[in-house]
Amino acid sequence: MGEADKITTQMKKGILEYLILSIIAKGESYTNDIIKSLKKANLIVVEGTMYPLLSRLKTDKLLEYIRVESQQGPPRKYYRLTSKGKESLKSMDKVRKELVKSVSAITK
Amino acid sequence: MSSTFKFQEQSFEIQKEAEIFLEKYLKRIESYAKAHNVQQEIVDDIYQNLLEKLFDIPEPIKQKDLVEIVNTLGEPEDIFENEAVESFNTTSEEAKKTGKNKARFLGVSTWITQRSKIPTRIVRILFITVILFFTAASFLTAITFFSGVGFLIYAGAFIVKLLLKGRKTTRKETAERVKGIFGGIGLFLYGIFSIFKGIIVGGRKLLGTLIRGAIRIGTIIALIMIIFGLCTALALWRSEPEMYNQSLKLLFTGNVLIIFALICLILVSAFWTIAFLSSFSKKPLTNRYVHFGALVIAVFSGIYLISQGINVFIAFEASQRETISKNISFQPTTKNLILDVVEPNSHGRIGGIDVFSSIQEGNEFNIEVKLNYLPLQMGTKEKIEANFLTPTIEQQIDRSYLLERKNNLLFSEKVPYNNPSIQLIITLPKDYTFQTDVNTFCSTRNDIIFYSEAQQTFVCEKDQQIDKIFNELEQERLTKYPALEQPNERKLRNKIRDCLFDNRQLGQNEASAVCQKESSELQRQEAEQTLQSEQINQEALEEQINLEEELAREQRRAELEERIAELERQLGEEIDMN
Repeated sequence: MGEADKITTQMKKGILEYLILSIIAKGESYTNDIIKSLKKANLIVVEGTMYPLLSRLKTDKLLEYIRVESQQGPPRKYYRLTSKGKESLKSMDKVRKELVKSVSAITK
Repeated sequence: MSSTFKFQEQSFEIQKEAEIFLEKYLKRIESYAKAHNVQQEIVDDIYQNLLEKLFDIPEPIKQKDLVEIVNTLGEPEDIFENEAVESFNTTSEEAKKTGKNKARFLGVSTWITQRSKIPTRIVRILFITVILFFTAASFLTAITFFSGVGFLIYAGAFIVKLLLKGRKTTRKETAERVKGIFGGIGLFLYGIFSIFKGIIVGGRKLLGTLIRGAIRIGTIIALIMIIFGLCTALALWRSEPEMYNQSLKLLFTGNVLIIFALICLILVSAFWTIAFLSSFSKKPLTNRYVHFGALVIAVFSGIYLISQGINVFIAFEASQRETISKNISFQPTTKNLILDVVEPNSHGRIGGIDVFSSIQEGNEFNIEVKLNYLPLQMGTKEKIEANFLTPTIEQQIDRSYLLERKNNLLFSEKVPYNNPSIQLIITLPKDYTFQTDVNTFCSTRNDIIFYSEAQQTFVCEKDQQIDKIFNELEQERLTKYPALEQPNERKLRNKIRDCLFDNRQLGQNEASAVCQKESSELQRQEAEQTLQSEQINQEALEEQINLEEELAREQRRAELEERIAELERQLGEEIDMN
């Protein structure tokens, strides 16, 4: 992997948690739904990396989940934002807007 | 060539080489996770994703399909690339909050926290709960009889902790160890610990099957009893609103102890119910409907049990207040024994009457019990009568519950019985010596509240007089009827008592008649035979006398005839001489 690839990967990883919170903010989400959204945006390749991320967000109490019975195997986890997660997402939105402005100002 | 591969309780048809590939992949994940202390929950999530992907491909599963899946999911090194490895000995803020590192007693609660992520405070509260209230049917029985089951749980957990000391184990291994140790201790414990671990009564071995079956049977019985109890409570609520209203008043007027006990009961019931429902599923139980069902059952059973506990509390209180001897009086003119058995201002329903009586030997008679009471409805006086057959010597007369008697003896279920005025009258035909205990109580079918009891021993005051008359009769018999044998003393004394009770003066003639009348049939026959014998003797004597007299008369006649003949001969000789 070249230096450019590493930087690109780090950029994607840096924004991944913010994007996960944004997807879940739209409604209760199953892990595969989140993965599909991120894959569609070409932001992840290895699905397995999602699980440690989700677990960490849950440990930080930004997310919580409910279990829903599934026809295929064990009950599925549906994630939703906690109040702390919603507040964090708001502040992240603010930072993103500022970053976009800053990056645009520098790179235009 | 394909075979069956089992994964996450599901079976798939899979080609042999694909099976080997999949097993290796799973082993790599397990090994990596174990070596780096990756949370089991993350591994389980990955497995679930893998399972769903396996469902989406046609069977038999081929290796090329698995390669695509593994490429999508990623190798363990890729998945956990940036994942910080957590240790059980963490000193994070959460750990400080939950008190993970502050062992209080043997460190069992902190150890469970480390394994289950349940806050230590919660674990400790649960332990205290099960120690104090585990098998309690009500809070009072819980306080009175510490079941001690909670101590067993704590001790068992400590053993598990020792066995796993210093070893890095997965949750599954810990759960297996817990199941192995607690499997034989009891079904309750097993259910509780299964919940602690988030894995409900798993395993397919014989022990697991037996435990699951026992849990189901036990809980079905418990549920039936709860339903039966609720129906009973509902029926009694209708018939005894006063009592149950008092229960609710106690509950909702801030009695902290009762409310705490109710919460404990609900928690225990919920745990047990979840364990029961989970035993039907091979998957970890997370269905919200099951939890809701458990909550409903727990709340209802808790409310029922706590109401029963309050009733017992009321019963104890009432018992202390009411268990005193009541007035007993005897009316010689009406021959009635009257017992005032319920005090004014008492409440509840009179559920039944117990009459115990010890009666002197030979006093066989009936006792009629009359019960009068006033229901709350003004102007309506109901009368209840019940007859108790008196058995023979020192035997319980009867144990009669009015509820079980015929309809006209039932207390009306629609009448709230407040301030009952009850008088029990025992009609005594004789003033025999006897002892009687009479209890009336308020009954809720399950709990008995004694409102009153009365006890009295009655001694016949005429015993000395009876002795005197008896001796006189004996003397009379010996002097006047020496041929008669001694009559039955007991019957004779009872006859004497009858006469005395009726204020009749016994004369010697009447006493003799009583004596003769009370003699046994054999004695009477013997007397008659004696009399007949005497009569025969007399007749023989008279016959002999008659015979002797006849002989004397014949002899006299012969003498007279001989004298006459002599005189005639002398007269003939004188005539010849002249």
